[in-house]
Amino acid sequence: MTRHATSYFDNEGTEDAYAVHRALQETMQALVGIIRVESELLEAKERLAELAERASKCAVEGNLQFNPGWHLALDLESMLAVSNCTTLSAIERRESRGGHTRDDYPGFRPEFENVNMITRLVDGEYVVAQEPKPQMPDELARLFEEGAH
Amino acid sequence: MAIDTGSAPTTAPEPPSGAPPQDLVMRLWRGDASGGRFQEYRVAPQEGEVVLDVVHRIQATQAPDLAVRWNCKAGKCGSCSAEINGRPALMCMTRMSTLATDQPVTVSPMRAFPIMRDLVTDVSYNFEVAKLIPAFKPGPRDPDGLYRMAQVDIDRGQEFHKCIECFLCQNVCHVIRDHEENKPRYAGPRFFVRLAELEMHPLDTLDRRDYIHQDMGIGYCNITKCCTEVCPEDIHITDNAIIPLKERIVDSHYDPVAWLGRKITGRPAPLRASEARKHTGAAHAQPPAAATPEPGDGA
Ligand code: SF4
Ligand code: SF4
Ligand code: FES
Repeated sequence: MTRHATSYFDNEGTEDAYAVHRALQETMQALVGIIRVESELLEAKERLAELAERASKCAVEGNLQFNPGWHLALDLESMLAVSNCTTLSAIERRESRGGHTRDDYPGFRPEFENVNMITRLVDGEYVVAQEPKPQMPDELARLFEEGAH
Repeated sequence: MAIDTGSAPTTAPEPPSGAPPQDLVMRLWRGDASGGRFQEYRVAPQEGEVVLDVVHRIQATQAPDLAVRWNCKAGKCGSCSAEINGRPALMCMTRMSTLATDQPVTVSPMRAFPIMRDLVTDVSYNFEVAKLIPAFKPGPRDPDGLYRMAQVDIDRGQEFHKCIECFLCQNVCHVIRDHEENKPRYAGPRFFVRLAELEMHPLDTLDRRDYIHQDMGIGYCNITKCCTEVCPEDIHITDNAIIPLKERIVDSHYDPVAWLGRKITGRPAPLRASEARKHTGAAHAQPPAAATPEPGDGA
């Protein structure tokens, strides 16, 4: 998955980083937007895999000096990582909380109250897992108690 | 046309509705330090675009390695400076609708700085000058630990704080635009703005006037105001920064008593006093010695 940054120049690839970028934006906007639903999130997950495949085939023109097309090809790796984290966490969190709204799971659910969704790259696959929220430091917790009155 | 009946007749016939608008012809400079040339690109216009949008569209569809520097797209980071139809401007703040698009629109990199690639120049000369400028040096605090400034003194510097370091003023100043050899001894308009900001700061105690005169080369500026014309922040560079600095330098040269007094005391108060006199015109009505009641005079 990770490769040497300059390898894009030797790529026999046929993909255009700008086109892949646009497709990624459209996918996330349409399927992992403000109101989310499982079927769309699962579709996004599949599309992200296709986009990662395309991104790895980006061909880069020009040279090393100030080359935005090359920089975008490199940035796509990170953008895809963030998109995967967002999508997988959204699938896993079967409730609506804060900025995350699930049409199929309206409202808070107590079982998600004390967990974070953590996405890791395991053998080249993104894997999401629920993990307990870290304990709030004492000094912060005290502020909340004070504010409660 | 049918809905147009009430209005005055138009002279130019409207294009038939539905016909695609004419393509924009953009001539962008492509090349690097070893040389380059203008290359022509044709793109369909879109509603409400600025030059940077069009350049980005060319980049995304026709020239993936086209180098262009930008960050904010809001005229506040000072990154996207270029020359549009020969006029220095920010690409993100120049609307296509203000340009004559029936002719090619040219975009070239700033001429006063070395080319890196395409529309990107190496502006490090400016950062080298910035390093040379003696920093802000406030005096001691009041006994209660606070600093106090008069509102009028604060207001004077506000305009200078607006500078976004786009360096368009540096680019257009004829002292360095085509005279690389002047750069080592000339700060340029952006840094006269910075120096004016420091010199007029009510808490600053340094006297930079000799330095501005001898090392920063303010004498080369012959107040053509080209810098003021291109400033995207509308800073009155020549009138409010350069001319007051020039006046202060003249004052220090022709008012030796005041100069000596300031040297000895190192206090900003006399500067403020002479500034106030300048604005009221009273300086000319009194002999220099009487006009400078310096705290250190009696010592
Ligand atoms: S007014 Fe002075 S600093 Fe400004 S462009 Fe003219 S010569 Fe240069
Ligand atoms: S003074 Fe104006 S033109 Fe010069 S760098 Fe600052 S904002 Fe740009
Ligand atoms: S992109 Fe920031 S000033 Fe133009």
